[in-house]
Amino acid sequence: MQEVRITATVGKVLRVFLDDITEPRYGYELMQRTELASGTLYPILARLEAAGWLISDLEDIDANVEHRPARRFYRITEAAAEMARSELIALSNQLRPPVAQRPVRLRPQRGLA
Amino acid sequence: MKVRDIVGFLILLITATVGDLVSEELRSRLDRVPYAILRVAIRRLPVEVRQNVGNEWLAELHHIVHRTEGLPITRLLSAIRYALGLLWTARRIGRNLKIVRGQRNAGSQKSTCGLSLHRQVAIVGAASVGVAGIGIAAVEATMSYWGASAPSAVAYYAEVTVGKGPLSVAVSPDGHRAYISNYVSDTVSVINTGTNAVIGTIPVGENPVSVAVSPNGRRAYITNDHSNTVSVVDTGTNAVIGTIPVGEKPWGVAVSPDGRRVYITNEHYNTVSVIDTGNNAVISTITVGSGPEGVAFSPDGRRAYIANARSGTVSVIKISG
Repeated sequence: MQEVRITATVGKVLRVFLDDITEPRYGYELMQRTELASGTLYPILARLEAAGWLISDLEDIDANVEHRPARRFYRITEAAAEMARSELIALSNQLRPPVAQRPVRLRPQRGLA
Repeated sequence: MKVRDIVGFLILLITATVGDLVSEELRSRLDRVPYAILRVAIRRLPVEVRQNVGNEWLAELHHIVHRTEGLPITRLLSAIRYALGLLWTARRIGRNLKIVRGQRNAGSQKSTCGLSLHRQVAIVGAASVGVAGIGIAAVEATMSYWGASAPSAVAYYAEVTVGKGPLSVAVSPDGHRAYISNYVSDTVSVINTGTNAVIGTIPVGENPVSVAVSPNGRRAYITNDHSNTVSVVDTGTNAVIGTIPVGEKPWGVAVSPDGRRVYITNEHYNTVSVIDTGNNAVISTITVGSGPEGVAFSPDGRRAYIANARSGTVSVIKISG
């Protein structure tokens, strides 16, 4: 498994896989869950698959019986799921906004007017 | 270089899309648009992964078009958005997947392609005559086909490079051979459907349009639009064994189920030429509607139907004996 730079967008994709690591995920479903466009999602999936984080396979159907082509699904490997979990924690720590402070109010200055 | 890339790519997009639209004009089905765009995206994938990744995208697009919720127009827009997104990133995606997916599945999928062609319903020439007709014959001379149980179910995808301007296709009754007329190259390409390899290129008349194979699979008949002839091909040797003069602008061709007659529509003469396959001669000429193009026999061979493009009618010919 190779290293992958976890940007916020990659994090979004990994987050969906962590919901249930045994669940197969399809491209269009991932697009909807992450609200990413195909042009953003698929390069990420390709990178994750090439790095060995995701594995993909064809749905087990007979295209001629179902009257539709078999779709390709993605699943996260167990090792990657571990890695993704700690990366996402680090990422969310990094992105978490600071505790809200009372807004600074400007007071009119007393003095000569 | 960047600009040239984008311009070249836009031209490719437009020609391919226009080509598809022109060929679809008759059916005027808007839901072909995302497929047209996606096919351009697939063509941008590196060869090693084109089939594998292309099939993945086609299946996903099929899912969006046919199996998601929402109004047809919403689904259509989602489908177009899906295809457009991939257009810009296809190269990058393909490069990344070369190692994990390259070649690995190519062999197994190819054989499925060959099998599926046997019962295929939908066949589409990627470079349609519309494209050749308006002078942009530089589009890639490839033929794409989909084997599927329903015309809308795109199950497999493969591309075979044939001549220029592939226009129509006929599959032999045993399913082992496919014959493609190349309108611009004036040839017919013969494909071995088991291997998807072009095993023969037969020079025929000028601008071949339609192809039909006899029920016994031993002859193929091709209409030559500009030489006003029909070429008869011996499928055993892939040689032209006869050239029959017919009416002006022969378009459609069909062989009767008993193999004894070949019907040719003559687009400009508004007639159908009837050929006796015993001596390859025209034995009669039947006047039909205006602009006859497509022709088909009923399975019992007692009716022939001719689509008249200009008069917007169908002529029904009753065949006696």
